Amino acid sequence: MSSRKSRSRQTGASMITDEQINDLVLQLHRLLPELANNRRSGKVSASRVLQETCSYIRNLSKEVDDLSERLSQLLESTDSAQAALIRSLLMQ
Amino acid sequence: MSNNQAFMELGWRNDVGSLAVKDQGMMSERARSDEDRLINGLKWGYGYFDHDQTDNYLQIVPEIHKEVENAKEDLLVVVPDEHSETDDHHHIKDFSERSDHRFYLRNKHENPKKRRIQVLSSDDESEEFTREVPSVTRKGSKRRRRDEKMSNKMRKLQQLVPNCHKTDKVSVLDKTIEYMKNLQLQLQMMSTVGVNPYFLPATLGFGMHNHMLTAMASAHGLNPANHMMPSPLIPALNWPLPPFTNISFPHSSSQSLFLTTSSPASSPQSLHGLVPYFPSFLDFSSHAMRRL
Repeated sequence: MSSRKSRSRQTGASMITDEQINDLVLQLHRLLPELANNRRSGKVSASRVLQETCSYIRNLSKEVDDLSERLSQLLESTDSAQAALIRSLLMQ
Repeated sequence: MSNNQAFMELGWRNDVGSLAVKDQGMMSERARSDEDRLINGLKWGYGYFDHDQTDNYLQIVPEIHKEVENAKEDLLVVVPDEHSETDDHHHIKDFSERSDHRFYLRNKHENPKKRRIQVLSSDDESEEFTREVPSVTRKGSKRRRRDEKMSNKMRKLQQLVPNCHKTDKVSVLDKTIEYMKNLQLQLQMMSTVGVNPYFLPATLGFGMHNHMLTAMASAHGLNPANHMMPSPLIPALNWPLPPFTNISFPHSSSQSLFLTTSSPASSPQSLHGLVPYFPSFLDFSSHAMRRL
């Protein structure tokens, strides 16, 4: 019977983290533009949110890489004053 | 064992021989010696109880009920009522800690869906054993599969997010959210600064922008000394507004907002305001523009 007690305690503790996880997944959901569009239409499963998050992060980092490359090209091609300006903006 | 709940009280007469087991304590006492275990094993081996040497007991529930015809009242349903719906394996674990040998007799009319062979183990892994029985754990295995899927994706996320060393779900999700906000902010910054400081449509080509930037610079008489100004706090009020006056700049707040954007990674409040519409970023850029 002691095992049952400990089990209920366990589920009590995991309930809290479950709540936290739900909350965090909801936050993620709001950050995802793909899912934010149909947010009102229906519930999206947590695993779908995670999936979309993975792909979205990949896209984002790809875009960041791409843009930084183009920006560095731009900085090379522009005169030093502008480059300094833009660099100072980006380095904030 | 002190529990008065008898596992079975079985007046049982058949061709195998009489086996009158009064309660669980007696039964386990009997079975504790190897001799008795052998004898019991022989007795139970006639299709009612299967016995092997590793303290695992097979139990075929409905047959027992069939055989004991006039002992229907004597059959004690072992599973308590609160367990009889779903929590069966848990219940078995409870009992497995108490005794090495136990027998479950169920009335099949009361629990028709529990007709199955149970493998009971005497050690603590009995839960693992019973988990493999499909009829109890159909829900559980579904849940477990879902959990596996989730943790798989959690691992993927953890690989994607830098500096995510903790493995628990909450911190992984936390880090992911933070990282995603940062990425969005960074992207927005770069695209806005790089592509178009004047907020022309972002579809503008980069090369064109390049020309525009230089044109703008020459048009407004940029000189390097201005740009070497160390701090963005110096307002360039004498600089004329660009001809895109339909964009409204909240001048009063631009200064403070600019300050908050200067440390995007460390201030969650500014990040929160920036996503997804980046209002302060507009101010930030307007300020930068005014610096030109």
